[in-house]
Amino acid sequence: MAVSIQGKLFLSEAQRYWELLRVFVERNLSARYRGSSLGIFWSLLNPVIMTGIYTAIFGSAFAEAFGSILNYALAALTALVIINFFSASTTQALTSVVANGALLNKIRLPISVFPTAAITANVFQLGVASVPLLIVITLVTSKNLLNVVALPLPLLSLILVSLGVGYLVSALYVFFRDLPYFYEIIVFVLWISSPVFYPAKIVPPQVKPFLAFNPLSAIIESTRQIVLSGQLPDFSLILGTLLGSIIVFGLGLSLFRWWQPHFMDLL
Amino acid sequence: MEVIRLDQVSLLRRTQEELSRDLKKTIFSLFEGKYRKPMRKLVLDQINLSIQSGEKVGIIGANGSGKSTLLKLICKIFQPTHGRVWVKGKVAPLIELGAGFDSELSVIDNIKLYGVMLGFSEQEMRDRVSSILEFAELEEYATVPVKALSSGMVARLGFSIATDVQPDILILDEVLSVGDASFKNKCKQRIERFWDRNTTILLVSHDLEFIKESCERVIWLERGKISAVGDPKETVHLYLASVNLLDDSTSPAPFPSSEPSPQSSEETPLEQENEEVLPAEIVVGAAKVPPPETPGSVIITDVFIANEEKQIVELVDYGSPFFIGMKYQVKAPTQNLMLGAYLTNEYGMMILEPVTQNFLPITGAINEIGERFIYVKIPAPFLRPGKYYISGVGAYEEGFGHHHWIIEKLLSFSVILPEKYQHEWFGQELVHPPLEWFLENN
Repeated sequence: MAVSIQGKLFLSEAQRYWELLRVFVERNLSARYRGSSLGIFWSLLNPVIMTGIYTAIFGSAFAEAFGSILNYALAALTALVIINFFSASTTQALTSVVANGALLNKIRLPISVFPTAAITANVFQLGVASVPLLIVITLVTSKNLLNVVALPLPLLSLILVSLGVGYLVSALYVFFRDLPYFYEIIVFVLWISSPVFYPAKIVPPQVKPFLAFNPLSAIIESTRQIVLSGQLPDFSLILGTLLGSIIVFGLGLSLFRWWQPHFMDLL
Repeated sequence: MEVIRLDQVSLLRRTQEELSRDLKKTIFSLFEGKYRKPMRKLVLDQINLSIQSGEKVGIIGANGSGKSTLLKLICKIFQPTHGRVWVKGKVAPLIELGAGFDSELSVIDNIKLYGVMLGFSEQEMRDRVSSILEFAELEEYATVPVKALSSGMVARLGFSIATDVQPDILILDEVLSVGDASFKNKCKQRIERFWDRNTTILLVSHDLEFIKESCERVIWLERGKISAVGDPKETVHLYLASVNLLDDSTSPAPFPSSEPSPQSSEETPLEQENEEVLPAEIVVGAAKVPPPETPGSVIITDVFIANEEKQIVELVDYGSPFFIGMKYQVKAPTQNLMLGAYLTNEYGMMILEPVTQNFLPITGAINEIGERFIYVKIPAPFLRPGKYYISGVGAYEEGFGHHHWIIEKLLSFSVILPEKYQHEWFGQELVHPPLEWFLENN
């Protein structure tokens, strides 16, 4: 009988993954906010300050394309929230597997839990700090609850893209320890090729097709459509971003799993 | 009932130089067409093993023979390259106590974290906190961050968490060498309780006496292969015999009595071994010393541990004196040459720093051009049983100055406790020489 009692103490793989994710996210967050009284709202401060700077510099130049300076500021803020989430979460995911290499040599753990936890910790921040702000803006501009209901969909796409890229870069970092330098450049390219602070219109038509490869552009566009346009959510945009993000997620996860058997040699 | 089964298990791992790959080099090598697939080394070679429920199995072998790797395969930390590993039941891996702690978090939070990593639920761990703290004797430290604890306390905490629930399979990798004597006893008692019950135990230790006493079966690994399995006494004996045999045939550093043989310089089996703890490659018994950064007219090329018969050994009896030997080369005439070595214990503490001009200085031939050996005799009983390292050698030449080769864990050896000294009580002391007591009445 002792055996069956003991059996209950131990968790199934899925439950274990969930429990691990929870403790690692908790550890992640508590490490980040140790000794900071502003806590989680730091993550909102960055996009707000950046929005202020962009509006001060480009506001009047692009006001016409966006309708007004206020509209420009809101458009810049929406995009900055998205691009900041992507770059912070994937950069943290990048080092997560290698940073826990010593641990992985002592205890068997599902390796993918580390990039997942790094990104989940950022999701938590996003949900507490930025999402409420976006909801308020959405309600003010659209006066329609449907837009608020649709808002999580492009954000879900954002999370899926970040997870997919996070898996990919955390796996590559195991093999190539100089990756952070390259990744910094890649994030910058993604950032500059997303219409964060300029209207998409000013991009020359020869260059435009290349911007379509940037998965963040579509997410920014869809989020802006829901939050700022004042019109009903455009579901074809939402569906497009979801589809694209599922592909990025699936690709990232499959490559991670494919390379995973070689990780332990290098950790 | 069978609980662990390994069928034709082989493990290939990348060699050390492959660790330094980066993206820039890889891209360039692709463009230049010089890209080659990473080199891999056979760490375990076609291991077949079946362990029954409740069996106590000891694993012995030289450093780098694959002992820890085998345990990690059974813990599912490594995946086999070929073959199949099958394990039934809950495994408690005690590979390095406290490896999973977050030093910033409090003891209580770490108990939860470590417990969840070992496969328990957080809720479950919350209920266990008090019994874990009690066993680890850390009740007053519950809310203190782990970084404030001593290493002994951390080890206690790790052991306490991992063994709070009786596992089906307990994996012990040299863990009983940590902590103070009273806690060690406590650990031993708890393990003995598991021992009596139906827990399967796998044990790696350099304490061959302990293995002989407490295991039912011993596996001797040699360069990734099972060399022998069976009765503890017999297998340990075979192993010890082979250690000495090895020195007769393929000694890496030939002794004054024998002529240096050509095959002895590079291709010794000891050096080919790949230590599983990367990146440090620790050799047992004898090691090549890499050249110093600033070469003088003297170079120390080899360092080794030898028994009284001047055979290279990796295990030294607590009761028998042994030698630290060095092979060195004088390329140009020097004066007042002084040679020395560093002997450290497993915690990196310097135990001995013998140099040639102490007590009975050597003069004359030591300075002459040529290649020769020099030995320093370490008395016994003196070093307490445990693992030791030669962590460097040094030379001093008049007119040139010091040159040191400080290389942590250049080679390792163990002092083992023979039957005769079983009654000795070893506290937290670093050395254990025979001390005399005197009783006098007023």
